[in-house]
Amino acid sequence: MPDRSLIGRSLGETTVEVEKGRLRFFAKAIGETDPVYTDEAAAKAAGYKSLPVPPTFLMCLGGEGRDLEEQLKIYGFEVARILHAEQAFDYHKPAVAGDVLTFSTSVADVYEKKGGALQFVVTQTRVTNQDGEHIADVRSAVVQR
Amino acid sequence: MTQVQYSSVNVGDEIPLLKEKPVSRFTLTLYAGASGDHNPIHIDLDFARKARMPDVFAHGMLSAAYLGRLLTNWVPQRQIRNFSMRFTGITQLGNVPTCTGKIVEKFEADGEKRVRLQIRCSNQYGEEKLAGEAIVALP
Amino acid sequence: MRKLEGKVALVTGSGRGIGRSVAHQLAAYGAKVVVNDLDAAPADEVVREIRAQGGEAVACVGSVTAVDFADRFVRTAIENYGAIDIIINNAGYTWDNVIQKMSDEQWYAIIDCHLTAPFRILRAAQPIISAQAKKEASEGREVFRKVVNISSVAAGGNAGQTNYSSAKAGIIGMTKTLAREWGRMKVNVNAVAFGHIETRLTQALAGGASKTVNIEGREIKVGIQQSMIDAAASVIPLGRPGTPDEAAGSVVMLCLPEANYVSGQTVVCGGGFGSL
Repeated sequence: MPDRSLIGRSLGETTVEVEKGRLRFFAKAIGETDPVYTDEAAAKAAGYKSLPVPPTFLMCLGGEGRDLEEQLKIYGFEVARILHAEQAFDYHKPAVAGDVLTFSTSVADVYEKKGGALQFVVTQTRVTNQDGEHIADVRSAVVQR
Repeated sequence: MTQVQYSSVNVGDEIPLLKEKPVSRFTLTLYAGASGDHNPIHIDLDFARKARMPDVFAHGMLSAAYLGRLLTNWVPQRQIRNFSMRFTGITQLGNVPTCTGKIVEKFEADGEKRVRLQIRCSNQYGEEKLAGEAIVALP
Repeated sequence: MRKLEGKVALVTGSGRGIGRSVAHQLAAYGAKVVVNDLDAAPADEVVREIRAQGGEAVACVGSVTAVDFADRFVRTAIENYGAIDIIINNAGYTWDNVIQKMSDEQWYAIIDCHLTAPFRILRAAQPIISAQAKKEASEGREVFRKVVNISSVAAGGNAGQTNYSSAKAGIIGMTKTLAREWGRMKVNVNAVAFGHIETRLTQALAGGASKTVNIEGREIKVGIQQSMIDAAASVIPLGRPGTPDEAAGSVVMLCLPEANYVSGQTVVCGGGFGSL
């Protein structure tokens, strides 16, 4: 069971290169047919340097190189009992294919509901690119039932 | 796509809805691969049953991605400033994700015109699965 | 006589055929009915008909095999009427073939519909029934609730129906088990095994004609050749197939207070034909 002493704890940094192939695969998986997300020429015509990272894909990239089970162990959570509770993104600059993004994550909050029957852990991730530009902030809450 | 203008939208306006295909095992397998979320509860029936679920169920972030499409179908992605949601129900196999958005506020911040949208993803029975909001800048 | 005044009845597959007649008869006894069908149009139609007669009904549309159906069905009853008193597991269809030609899809489609769906519905209803029963027990009241599961004389064996007969034999086992588990909650759990009842699934086909029904995107052959019906009728002591109203009557009689001391039984409704 997680306790509030976890708040502020760093969960480390991951770095990932945004690959065009992954973006096209993601577009297919979510039924995205706008060529801006799959065709470089269309992306450039729309003013992007390359294929843009779709709004929720930052969360997927942030999971890259991160062992979910290891992370859950820190909280004392089991993978079969957790659910995603909340998710939020603040966008500062577009991220595109070819960018190398750094995700710096820490525990932002720990709390419980229903007299402890539901336990929540909230993480906060700062996303920056290869030029040190602040791309986004991602907030994510998981709950263990 | 004709650009949505701040002056032409009003509080209470609905943005064009997004209705997806029913969620299938194939949808979930593709999403697991593409997203990198390999939690077996979404793709492995045996695992789901061991976890006392009747079957596999959709990734919350799949419906979140549909909400993202709801927004990017309406305005270019670079106009999205903030996007947040709560997962309020489990999307089951056979559910038809239906995303809607409504303008609830018009305001100015950081020197630009923005609208706040209430967004929602429900199934074909009107049961809410995701609820949240987005802030979008408009010219 | 309004013997079921105020009772809340959930009937699967009640947009058509026997289930529709069950819904009407229960409503005529005063029950509020949650009507279910795969398709919205027939379910809404039955709801309209019941309301037109001064009764209360609400629709819960969708396949009983959907993973979230049971919860939605139970919730529809609770949100609209605040209770559950009668559950009729009626929804079903046949998809026949001899065993060597029966696919796994065919097997599971029928098992899911006739066996797993009732299991999930009854499981989902249990906490509500239990809470109601506990409250009544604490008040020193004995209130009987009813479950009627629909079986078939095919449970005793019928060529071409490995899937259906297995499911229909299975539901009898479920009925007997729940009669024991739920006796302390004063729930009468019984089954009705139908013989030959005339519905769209057993309609007479002329010559080489064939008919299909669409079940979740699958076109499934239904209907029986007239010659087979004539042959079957000759072994029915009452001399003809049953009507949906007669079939429904055998279900509804088990829901009446007169049947309060009957539980764990299977009534055969077959015009004298068939025994289990």
